[in-house]
This record gives sequence, C-alpha cells and structure tokens, in this order.
Amino acid sequence: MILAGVTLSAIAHWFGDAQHWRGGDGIPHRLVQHVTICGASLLVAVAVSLPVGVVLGHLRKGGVIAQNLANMGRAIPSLAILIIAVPFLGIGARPAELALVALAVPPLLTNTYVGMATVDDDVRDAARGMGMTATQMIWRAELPLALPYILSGLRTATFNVIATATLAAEIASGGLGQFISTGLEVNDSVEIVCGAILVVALALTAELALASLQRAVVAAPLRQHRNTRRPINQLEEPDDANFPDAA
Amino acid sequence: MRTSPTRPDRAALIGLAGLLAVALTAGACSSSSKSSSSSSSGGSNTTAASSGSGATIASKLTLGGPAECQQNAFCIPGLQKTYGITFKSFKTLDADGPLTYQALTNGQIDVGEVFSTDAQVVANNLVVLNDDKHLQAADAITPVIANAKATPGVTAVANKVSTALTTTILLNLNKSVGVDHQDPQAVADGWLKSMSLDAASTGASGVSITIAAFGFSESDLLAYIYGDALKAAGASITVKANLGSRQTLEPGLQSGQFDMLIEYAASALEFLDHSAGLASGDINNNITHLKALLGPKNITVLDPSPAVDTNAFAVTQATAAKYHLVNMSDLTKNG
Amino acid sequence: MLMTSQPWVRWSWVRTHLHVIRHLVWQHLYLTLLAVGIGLVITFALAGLARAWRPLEGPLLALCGTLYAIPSLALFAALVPFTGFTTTTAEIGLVGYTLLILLRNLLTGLDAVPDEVRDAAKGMGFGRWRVFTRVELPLALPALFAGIRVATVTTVGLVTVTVFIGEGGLGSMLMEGFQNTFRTEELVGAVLVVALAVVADLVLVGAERLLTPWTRRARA
Repeated sequence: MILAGVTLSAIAHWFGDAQHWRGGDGIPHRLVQHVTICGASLLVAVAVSLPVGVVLGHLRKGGVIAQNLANMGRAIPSLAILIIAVPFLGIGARPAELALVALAVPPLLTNTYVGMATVDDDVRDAARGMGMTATQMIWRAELPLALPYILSGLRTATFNVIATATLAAEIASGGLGQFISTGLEVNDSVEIVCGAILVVALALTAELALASLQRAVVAAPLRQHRNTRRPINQLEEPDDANFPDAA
Repeated sequence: MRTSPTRPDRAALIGLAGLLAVALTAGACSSSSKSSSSSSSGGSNTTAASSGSGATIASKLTLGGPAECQQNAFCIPGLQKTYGITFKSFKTLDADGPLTYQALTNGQIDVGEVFSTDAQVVANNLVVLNDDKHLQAADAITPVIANAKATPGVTAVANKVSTALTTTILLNLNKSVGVDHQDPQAVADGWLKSMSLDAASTGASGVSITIAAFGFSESDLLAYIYGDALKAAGASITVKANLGSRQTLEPGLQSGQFDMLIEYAASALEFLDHSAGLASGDINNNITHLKALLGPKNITVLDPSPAVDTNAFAVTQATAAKYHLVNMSDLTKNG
Repeated sequence: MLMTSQPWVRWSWVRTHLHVIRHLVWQHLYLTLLAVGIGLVITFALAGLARAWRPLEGPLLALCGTLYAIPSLALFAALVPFTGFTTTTAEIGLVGYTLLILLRNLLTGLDAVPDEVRDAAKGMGFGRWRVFTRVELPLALPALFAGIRVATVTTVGLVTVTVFIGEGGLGSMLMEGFQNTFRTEELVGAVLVVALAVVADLVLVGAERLLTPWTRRARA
C-alpha cells in the first residue's frame, strides 16, 4: 500500500530505525518537546480564560465580545501569529508557547462564557432562593451545568494547539513538526509521512483522553441532554470535535 | 433529534488509533540494528562520542544549520572527513537565515553554518573560522536552465549578468537586504540599473521561465536579479521560493517543475555526484563535470559568475575567545 | 538582537509595492474561494449520497474528520510527490479541510428539519427531490452558512501554509519578510491575512442575513 508515494514498509522501517528513537532528533525527545509546548500554552490559556469566562458568563456581561471571540480567534492564521511573535519573543519554544496561548484562549473563553450564560434561569432562581451567595451559585449550580461546554472548548483548544505546534518547528521550537519540516526541506517523503502520523496519533490520543475525561466528569443526566441543546447557528457546540483550526 | 452524526467519529478515531498502535509496534519490532538507508534526520549522527575525540573542543559544542547540513558534502560529512570534527549535537534551523543568527547570538547554538557572502556575520559581530584545510570548493554562482528555455536571447542576458556579478558586489547587495533591510527586489533592480543590465529589449521575448529559489535570502535576491534582467529582455518570469533545498529543487528542475535555478557550482556537483568528491577549487573542473552530469538531463549549464559563495562556520566573539578559535582545525584541539 | 533597527512599517515600501500586495491578496482570495466553492459542490454531492443511503453518513464524516486531523503542512507536503508544486496540490489539501466543516454542518442542518415539515411537504405531493430542494435545503441553510463562514475563515489561514509548497498568497509575503528580517513585509502580510479573514467573515454574515431572513426573526 502506498501512502503519498511511500510504501507501508518504508514507514515501518523508519519507525523501526533505532536512530530515530535516540537523542535530540529522536521521537521521544521531540514528543516531549511537543507535549510540553502544548501543555504549557493550554495551562496558561485555561488560567486566563476560565476565570474571565466564568465571571462574565455568570454576570451575563460582555456577551457579544465573548461569543464572537471564537470567530475572531479563528481569523488569526497560526503561521502569522508564530512569525509575528519572533521580533518580540525571539525563536524557540517559549515564543511558540505564547503564540499558542493566543490560539487557545478564544475557544476556551467563548465556550466557558456560553456554558455559564445559558444556564437555565430557573436554576439560577432556585439557587438564589436557597440563599446561595454568588460564589456558591457559581460553584454549586452553574459550573456543573457549564462543564460540558467548557470541556468541549478545551478539546477544541487542545486540537488547535497540537496542530499549530507542528508549524512552530518553523521557528525552531522543536517538536514533532520538525520531522515534517525537515522532510520537506530534504525531500524525504517517508519522514514527512511519519511525522504526520506522529502528530495525528498525538492529537487522537489527546482527543480520546479528553473525551474520557468529559464522560467521567460530566454528570450522567447532563450527557443525555446534550443532543437536544444543539444550537446550529452557534459555532462552538458542546459536542464532540468541534471545528478546530486545522493547522 | 437523531443520534449525533459524530458518534461514529469516535469509533473511527479509536479504530485509527488502534491501527496506528499496531503499525508502530510492528515497526519498532522490526530489526532495530538496521538503520534506514534514506534516514535524513538520521538521529543525531554527531552525538555518538567517537573514539578518542571525547575531549575535543568540537565535542562540547552544538552546531546549527539547515536540515541538509547532515547530507551536504561541505557541511557535516565534509567536516568529519576533512577535519575529523564531530560536534556534540546538531540543531536543525535554517540556511543562513534568521533562525541561525538568532540562535547564535542568544547562545542556543555555539557554531552556525553561514554563507561567506552574508553581511549579517559582520553585523552580528560573529567570527568566521578560517577554512585552513580547504574543505570548501569553488562554489561559483552558476545558473542552470532547461534546454527548452535556453534560447540564445535568454542565455546572452543571463551570461551578461553573471559576468558582472562579483563576490564583493554580492556581499554588498546582501548587506543592503539583510542588514539595511531594504526591499530585495529594489536592491536587485537598483544594481541592474547601475550596471545597465536592465535595458529593455526583446531578446528573450516569448519565453516564459519559472525560476526556483532556495530557502535563503541570497537566493531570492539572485532570482530577482536574473529574473528582472530577463524580464527587461521580454521574458515572462515567475519566481517560486521557499520550496526547500537542493534535494527538492534539483529533482524538480530535472522533472520540469521549474525551468531555472541559480545554482552554486561545487555544491550542485557534489549533490549530483552523490558526494563522490568531483568538486574542487578549480571552477573549470566543476563546470565541466556539472555539464557532463546535467547535459543528459536536458539541462544547460550557463557561464559561471566570478562571484563565489561557500559555506562558512561562525561563532560568537565570546566563543572564539574562550576556546582560542581562529581556524576550523582548532576545533579538533583538546579543550 | 539584530543590528540595524528598522521601523515597524516602512510606508515607502508599501507605496511602491501596491501592485504586488494587490496581486497577492487576489491570489489569496482566489485560492480560498476556489477551495470553498469546490468544497461546497463536493459537499452537496456527498450529502445527497448520504441522504440516499444512510449508513454512508457515519463513515463519510469519519473520513473527513480524519483528514482534518492531519497537520496542514504534512498534508500539502505529502501531496507534492503526486501533483507537484502546483496550485492543484494546494487546492486538494484546502478542499479536503473544508469538507468536514461543510459536510457536517449541512448534514446537521438537514437532520434538524422537523419530521412534521417533511411529512407536510410529502403530503402536499412533493417528490423526494422537491422535498430536498424546496424544503430541507432552505431550512438547512443557516447551518450550512455557519459552516461556510467557518470554512472560509479557516481556509484563509490555511492558504498561508501553502507557501511551503510554492503558493502561499499573502503567506509568501509573510515568509519572505521573515527570511529577510524585513519587518514591514512581515507585518503587512500578517495584517492583511487577518483583515482578509475578518472581511470575509463579515461579508458572509451579511449574506447569511440576506438569504435567510426568517432566522433574523427567530434571533430577535
């Protein structure tokens, strides 16, 4: 079977070559680089987006901006953000991480906001009626209901970040994208395809992990309701793989 | 509402992940002592501490350069063969571009592969190590072009440009672009004008040529220089940049994806002869061999220019002072 | 960092390069619209197939989804051995990426048509085809439009990546500026791509409002 001009056996050989599993250019090292870059940016993005989204959503303020942020975020091409970051932040992993934060925040912020803001008024009234303070209301009543949306936003953000981190190899950040970049440079199709396989495998693994997390954390009754609450015009849906940025 | 059409997505995802796992395991289980013949990233060839060289200066330093450095006869393989130099590790950056210079100046690499005509070396206060064992060969600027496009008019214009170009001129032009940040095309056109090479004519009219440029700024500049000269002579020119290095462009030229490439004689030769060592410091020797190799592929080798651009290896002033580096062979001293 | 400092935007360069900028903007737009257009045609065809034979829907979406997961740089690079450094290569990749977005949205929209409406149409004597074109499609339009919006904006970004296979549109301005450390060119390239995406999005929002006035009432 041929995949992009490369035979399956060539791919197997590439993965079977011990050289490719050793040292700074090896798969493990680059995998760690990739995961570190993605993890760091997601952490920062979550730390920034969640509080802001929760508060704004609870207060139901700033809705227009928050809701359109995902759209605006999508309009920023990842390559441009990586390149423009260089004069400010230099090259390497750090600038890539910061650029990736900019890509991760929009889906997270928008989804958090929407999740919080669309909590049923009845629920909020009941909570108020029970004498809950705002903080208690957020933690005990609204957040649990907003969780499906938030996790969905996290899945989109994660996908975006993993995909864009492959481009970051162009600014010397390392990571799995370096296989693709080098393969392109020296016309080695096997390396390109293998690099692509690695990135896709990582993305799939992350996707499955987050899907399991979603299943574990979101209360069972809410899971059933997800299908009916599917706003078509909204761009971020609290459902499986949204429309992440291909990068 | 029917079931989500994305639920099968997850089944497919799991299936795909499973397949991937099987493939990876199968691959990993296959003979691990066999290194793949075309392994280009080749792991870090340079990390294995070679016998007896454990204490050389080079073994403590990181080299940075383009990906093809690992295969280029005038880079890592040549350094090993001619000088016995093995670096601690290699970092893939770019070909004499912003990544290499930034990595050098902020210490992410110790030695950088640069080009001898790049003014950024001086501007960044870097020191080029002397090629005392003459690893580098006569890398004269040499346009190569598909036979079909090598009309007398085209050839005449290109050769005129090549004759006028010297190493010093190239250095100055590169400085205008890389250091003074002027627009490459403006710099090219300005030079053509100053040498009266932009006179409008019809010598090359009716020919449409696609020029491919390597992924570094001098190549872009050269593409503009030759391209705009040919345009003035009536040709219709397209420039394709950023396609990669020689590994991509030479096959592309031979398969007709583009028509013209502004090559570097010795490097092209070593690439085409699979590092058989045909290239030397004698430009005529290089051109003869080049013509012998490219002729059968229906590619014309035009006249070489006096301008020469070879690989060079640069370090920061601090590094040079620390290890007392002046010549390339100083890197093999114990340090 | 680097020696000579340069102004962030050298307006003289912009002035003398308006024709280059215009050309690249058009090239970028062309690549984008072509991809979305072809993507739409294929989407309609696939959606029709999926509606005619339901079991096909899942696998089709899974296939598109898998395509989507492939990093764009890799997909373009992997196509080069087959179709060379041409616009075709770029377009194949770009169209592939639009498919998941468009197809999923169209199918979702078609699914969302209430059964009663479909029954009513059938009751009025509409044949299968007429039900599809006169009833289901118009009702699925909002969903499709949301998809077109997302697909277009995403594609504008992806076109920049095609610079690595010889196309690039405004991406080539971005990368040339990067390679020569020429800030003006980098910035102009980056700003214009973002502007293009934003403008495209706004135009499509406007078009959506025009073509589906009934949703405006629902929104209000």
